[in-house]
Amino acid sequence: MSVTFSRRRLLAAATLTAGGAVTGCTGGDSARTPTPSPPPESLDPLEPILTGALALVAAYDRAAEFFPELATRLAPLREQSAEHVLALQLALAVPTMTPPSPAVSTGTSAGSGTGLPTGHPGTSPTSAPGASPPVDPAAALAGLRARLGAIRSATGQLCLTTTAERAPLIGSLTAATACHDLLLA
Amino acid sequence: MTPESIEAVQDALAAEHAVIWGYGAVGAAVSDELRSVVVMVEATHRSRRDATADLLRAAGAEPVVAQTSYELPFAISTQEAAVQLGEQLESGCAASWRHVLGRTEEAELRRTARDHLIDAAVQAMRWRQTAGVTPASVAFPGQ
Repeated sequence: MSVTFSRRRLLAAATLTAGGAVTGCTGGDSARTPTPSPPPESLDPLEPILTGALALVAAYDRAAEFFPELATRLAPLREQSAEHVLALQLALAVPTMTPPSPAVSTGTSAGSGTGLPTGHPGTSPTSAPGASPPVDPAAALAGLRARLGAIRSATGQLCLTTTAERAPLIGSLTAATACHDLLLA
Repeated sequence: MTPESIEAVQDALAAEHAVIWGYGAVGAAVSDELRSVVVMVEATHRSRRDATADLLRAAGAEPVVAQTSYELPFAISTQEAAVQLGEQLESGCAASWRHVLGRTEEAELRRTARDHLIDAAVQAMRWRQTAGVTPASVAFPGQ
């Protein structure tokens, strides 16, 4: 039984970026990477979920900042979303006893349609540096609901394929996200 | 279905039986307007109960039957108490289906349990909204 640590994967990914040695150990290599880095397909499926959850919390904060009249309504949802972030971080920090199945892994590589905003964490039309803020509260709410819809879709799908250990958490996140979306309707 | 998942689904079915019974008490203590909501919600649980029983039979298990009587957690003499019970019924239901998620590797059973968890979480939220409780959502439904 293999044990997967996300930290190991992150270290390996950093080495991949630094040394580019994934093509193999040729003569004259710096030999900083005695073993090839794991391919992107072994990304923990919770990582993009966490990215989306972090971006959501940031979006709540931005909306409340631009439109203080929304703050009271958004505050409890923002707090609950922050709790989701913590739970996801905790789940990612726990070594998993079984590796993600290939069907799960390939489904989470960038651009494969998980439903989460693609691109860099936190990047969206409303969060990219220099981007214009939401036009009005309605636009801010629509933006939040779009994020919630994507998260619900991604967690809902992951619930079907993740480990039995993680499925209850992912199910709760799906349900909570569905509720939050309804509260912003 | 594995024995472990069958056991978890049986527990969820038992919860549905209890919820259906509980809504009888809720309906008796609320206004006519709210009673029509209770009737609809109870109907949802009845069809879920029936579908769950079918699922168990298909897996070769004999579905657990409802108890002849249940104990109310508190007196339901006001509409306020009835709505609070409604919320508790749905929260308990959510917990049962969340439990199923952790007891199976089957995608289809996960899908069923996930959808029931979502529905129960949403209905629990609706009861909190009816009661004027804020926030109406909880961070981890079913936990």
